[in-house]
Amino acid sequence: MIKTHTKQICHRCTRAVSIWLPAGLLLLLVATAADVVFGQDDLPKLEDMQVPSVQTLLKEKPVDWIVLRNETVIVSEPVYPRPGTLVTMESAFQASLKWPRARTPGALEEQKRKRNELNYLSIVIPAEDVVEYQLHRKEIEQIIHHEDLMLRRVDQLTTDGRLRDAFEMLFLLEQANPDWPGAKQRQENLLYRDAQIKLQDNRLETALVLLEELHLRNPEFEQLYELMGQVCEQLLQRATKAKDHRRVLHFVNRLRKCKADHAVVQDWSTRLKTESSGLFEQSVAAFDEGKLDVAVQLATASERIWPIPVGRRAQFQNILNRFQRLRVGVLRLAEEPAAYFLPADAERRHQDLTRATLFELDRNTTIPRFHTRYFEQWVPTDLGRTVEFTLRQDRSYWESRPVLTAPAVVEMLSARTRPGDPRYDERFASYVDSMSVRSPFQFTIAFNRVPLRIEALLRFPVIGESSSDPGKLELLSRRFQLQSADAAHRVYRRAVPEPAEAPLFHVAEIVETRFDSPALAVQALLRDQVDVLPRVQTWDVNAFKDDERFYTQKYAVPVTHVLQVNPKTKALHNRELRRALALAIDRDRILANTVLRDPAAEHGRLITAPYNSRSYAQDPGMAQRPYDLTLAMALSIAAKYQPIQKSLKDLKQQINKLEEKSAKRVELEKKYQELKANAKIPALKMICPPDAVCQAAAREFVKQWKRIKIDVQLLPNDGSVKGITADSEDWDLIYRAVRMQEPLLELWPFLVLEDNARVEALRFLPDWLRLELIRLDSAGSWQVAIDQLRTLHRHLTAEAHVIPLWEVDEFIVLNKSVKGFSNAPIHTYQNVERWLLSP
Amino acid sequence: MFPRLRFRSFRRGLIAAGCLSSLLLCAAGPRSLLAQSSTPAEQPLPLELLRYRVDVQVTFGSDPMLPPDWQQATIGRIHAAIERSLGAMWEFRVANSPRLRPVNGAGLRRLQATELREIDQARESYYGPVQRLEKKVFLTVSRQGGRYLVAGREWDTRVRSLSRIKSAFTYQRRMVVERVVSVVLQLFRPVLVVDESRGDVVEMRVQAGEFPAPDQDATQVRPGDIVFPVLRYRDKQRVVQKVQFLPSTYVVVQKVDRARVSGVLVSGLRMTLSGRGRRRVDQMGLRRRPDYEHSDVDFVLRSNPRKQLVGNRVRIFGKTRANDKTEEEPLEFLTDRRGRIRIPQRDQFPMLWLYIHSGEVLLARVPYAAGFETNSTLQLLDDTIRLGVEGELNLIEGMLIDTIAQRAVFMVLARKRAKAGDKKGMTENLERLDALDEQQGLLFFQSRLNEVRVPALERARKTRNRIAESRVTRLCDKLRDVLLKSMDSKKTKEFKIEVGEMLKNAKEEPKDDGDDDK
Repeated sequence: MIKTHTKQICHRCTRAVSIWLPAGLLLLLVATAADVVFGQDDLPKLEDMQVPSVQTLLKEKPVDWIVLRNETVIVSEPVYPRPGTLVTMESAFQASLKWPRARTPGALEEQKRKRNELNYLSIVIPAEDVVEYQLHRKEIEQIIHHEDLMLRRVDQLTTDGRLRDAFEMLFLLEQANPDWPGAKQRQENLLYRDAQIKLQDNRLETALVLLEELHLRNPEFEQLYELMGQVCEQLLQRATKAKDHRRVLHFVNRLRKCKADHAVVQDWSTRLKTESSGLFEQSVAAFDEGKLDVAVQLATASERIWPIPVGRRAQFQNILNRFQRLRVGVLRLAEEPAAYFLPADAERRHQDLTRATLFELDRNTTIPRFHTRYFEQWVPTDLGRTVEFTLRQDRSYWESRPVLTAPAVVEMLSARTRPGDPRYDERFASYVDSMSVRSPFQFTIAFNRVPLRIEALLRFPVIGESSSDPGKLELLSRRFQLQSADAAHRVYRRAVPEPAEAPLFHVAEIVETRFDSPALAVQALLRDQVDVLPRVQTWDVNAFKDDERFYTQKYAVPVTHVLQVNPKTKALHNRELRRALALAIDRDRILANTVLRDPAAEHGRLITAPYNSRSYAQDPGMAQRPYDLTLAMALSIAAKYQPIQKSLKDLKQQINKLEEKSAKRVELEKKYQELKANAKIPALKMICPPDAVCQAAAREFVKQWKRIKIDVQLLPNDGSVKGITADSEDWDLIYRAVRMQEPLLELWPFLVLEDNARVEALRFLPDWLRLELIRLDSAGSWQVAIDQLRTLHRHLTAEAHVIPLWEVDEFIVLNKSVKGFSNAPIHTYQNVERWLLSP
Repeated sequence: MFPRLRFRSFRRGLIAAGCLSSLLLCAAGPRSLLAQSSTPAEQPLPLELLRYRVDVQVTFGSDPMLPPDWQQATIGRIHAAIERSLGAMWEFRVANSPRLRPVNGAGLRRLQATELREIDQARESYYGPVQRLEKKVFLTVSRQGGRYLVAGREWDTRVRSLSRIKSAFTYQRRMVVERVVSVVLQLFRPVLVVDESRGDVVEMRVQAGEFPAPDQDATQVRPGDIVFPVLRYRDKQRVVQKVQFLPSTYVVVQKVDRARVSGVLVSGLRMTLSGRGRRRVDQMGLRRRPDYEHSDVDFVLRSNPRKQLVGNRVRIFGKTRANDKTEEEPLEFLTDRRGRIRIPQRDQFPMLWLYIHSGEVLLARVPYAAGFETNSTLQLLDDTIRLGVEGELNLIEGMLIDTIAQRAVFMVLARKRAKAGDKKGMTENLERLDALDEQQGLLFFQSRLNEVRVPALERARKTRNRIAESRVTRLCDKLRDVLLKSMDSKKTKEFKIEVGEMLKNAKEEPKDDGDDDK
């Protein structure tokens, strides 16, 4: 049956043709012998053939099965053309019949030979490598290609439930032959089967994704929508149980996208519409009853369940507009436990929102500007020694502060001058001589000495005795007040709501929602789950700036990052150690790589003082502290020996007095060496704000200090470290991120880690430095104050009680639905009483 | 007969009441003062045997619960109770005096030392110097709400001083007498006379010291008590012209033997008591006990008392003499924005020493007894100029330490390279050392030092503050010496020669482990 013809060289070995031709004769002999080898009786029957295993198919050389007419199978190396080898050969032969007739006998013979060749399929038996056989196509029943074998194996794997292997095999097949007949169908089957298994495993979302993929590949796939319906039904049930309406709507919409008239879609749409409509009805009823917050809550819930129909949209907007709710996405809520004892970002936000001060910072120009909502006017007389204040008797409809009277304010002010009173303010008391109430809305303060900036001096809230609980203090100058709080939310409402007849309504409620990461907070903003992100990562700023859906506003005062030492830590009383710590920090690198993640450091810069670099208090001649590891190392060694310096000196003197090699001298020398060897800088503990960027920067400091042999431990902020206060000795260094707006008055409290400027708190400073701060506080003219501030700038840098690091521009991102905010806000909630939420 | 007097004012009324009461006291009976002092021929009794002659005037408030008959009875009971407590120490009478108005602390506060002195003078003008009345005690008994309020004040005629007001209250009328006696005992300020003074040890005698009080609480002087020295200046007629309390001077009682008292004189003004040396000056003492739980001390500038010294460090040691050693840790204060500190009164430390610091300098060291005054003022020198210089020098010192540290690093590296025979490395480090010397060498530091010294000295001269001038000079000279010592160019030259030698030796010796420092 097998007819051997001219020997041919395998097409893959064309370059070796010249080598192989002389060996042709020898091969011809071998090929003739194959007649004997492939006697029809020796070939296996198709029914006996086993589909090769996955390993064989993937790792061994590919083979095709050539099934002969008598159902026997020749296993050969892949035959070509493929796929559809026999069909292609038949077509080629048929085409040869239409060749133009040859004109010469030689050509005719050649034509016949070529046509005859088209009837033969070249095969290579894998075991015999390069030997090629010719097989007449009429003898071939079918060819089962290697790819078909793979598909058969895929089928078997699918049946066995080994979907991973099946997918892998199919993937390889599709990579090599994307259009292999049957592969697509297998893929679809596999997706369906996988979805079924995921459904059984209760991995519903994965199942839905697979079915959606199947839908994209073949929307006509049998039983696709039936399974999809089952999956979605379960997903919807689950989301409903979790009261996650957004999720419910999401799955309904996904199913609707695949099949709009699906029964599950119809069923759930009806249910959700009914539920939503019911809630909206309740909302309207609550609104009519004047329960605005309930109405908004119900209306929002209704909207969440199912979009409000167009016909009722106006009513819905009206409800939302009357009681506007600002949603703010934050990374930390106030009062969450942390080792950081100073007010962090969240606590400052809380303070800014809840407390109104008599004077507030309005604009941060070179010299800060203040404004007040409480005073109609304040007139200095007697060359500024007396100031007559007139309180405002009314307030704008949008203001949330209560109206204050002169007795209440004067009572509070006089409490600030009474030692022993919790409101006592030493600095204020030192200025005030007397106070008198002239009328219910007028009072006068006589000063001992003229304050440099009366507005900055009166930058505190009004705290008076509670009317309901005498003896207890309460905040009188309120803005918003905390309504409720849980682990994930804090809700604030206006202290005084806007009247019903107001011409325009503003934000009535602020809901702070906590997110576990900045990425989740950004996601929430993009999903319209929040309206404001008070602080975004600096590397996200440019993306937000380019996004037209949001306003990205830079805060007026950049945040200054500094390190400060605990005055109670004995080791840090040593100036050399403090300077070593400062010099060992590679600020440039940490700022660019860790804090800003921007080599150009667009939104940050190095600083030399704890206040912002554009402040009037900045000494322009002050040079940046260098990063000098060598000097830092030398200073740390000096600091290490400083506590035992006297003992070493005494010992050395004793040694020098003794005779050489005397027993006493040897003993003392040994003692000297021991003392020196045991000298060590104690391990220090550092506190860091509960902020990921600050923490990362702090970890970098710790690494760098390690290089100069100073061990610093970073205390965790997870609540495991408790009871740390400014007075405690449980910490040695603190990383602070502060916004100092008015250094003239804020520098002193900043240095002593307190709200008040108490002289007693300055005890840790050397007398001359303390005196400089006191002189600043009693400066009689602006020029003297600035000179004093600049001197302090120079001296504080040299003393290194505070190690200035860098300042970072911070940004607030607001949804475009928010209106009325400041272009360069001083703090997050500046002027929030006038913010509007437009639809 | 008594002269007829018309009281046109409270003051005159009081004067008249004083005269009247003195007369009454004189006519009190066989033990009257007049009788005793009308025998000038007799040898005068020594002070320790001389009993206090005291006039106790009680004013009752007009209240239905304080009826006249009860008042009368109470006067008698008060007399008896005081006698029980003080025994023979006092020779006194108790009288109901309706003149003090209002009948409470306010009325007592209105009493003025000058007016009371006028009373004494009026009395003397009527009856001559023979009249001897040493103390007057003014008491008020009134009713306030449900309480019976007793308040009082003592006047000592010899030292011409009014005591603080002391008060007590009770809710039961029968306890009024007990409260009155308690107030009287608190008001009583015994008088001592200085006998002898040896160095800082003072020997004194206490009046009526030979008549110990039956009541233990009424003991006149106890060890640890503070006696305030008083000088009484007399003229040739032995009439007292002036009474002077010595400021910042105290006697701390150490030992008491009946009437003999031995104490230590403590004075911030280095005053001494000369004992019997000065004939026309009586050296007396007034024993007082603390009236307040704490005392405020204000620190001001001597040159400008309106300017408070804020933020000054004050250490307070509880000790009697300045040179005494104490194991107790001193109390540390910072003067507040009013230049004030509040010193608590502690019984275990009757005498305190205040050390006022300004930077490295001790500005003043003064003794102080807390609890006797609510507020006192201490004037100190202006140390601002020197303190400013101290700060600036501190900064220069910091820079100097940095430079020395850097130099040390370069020197160590150069030495290592030289030892390893690495000429290039050695030269590099020596060049860095030279560059550092050029940038921050002796000249640089000297010029910085002059930048601090010259303006400070000018300011000190301008304000004629010689102490500041000398202190600034001393501070600057000290740092200059350090500079010269630490930035000596000879040492650098020697070091260069040394490393040069090292390099030579290293090249001659075979290299074995020389490169491991690199």
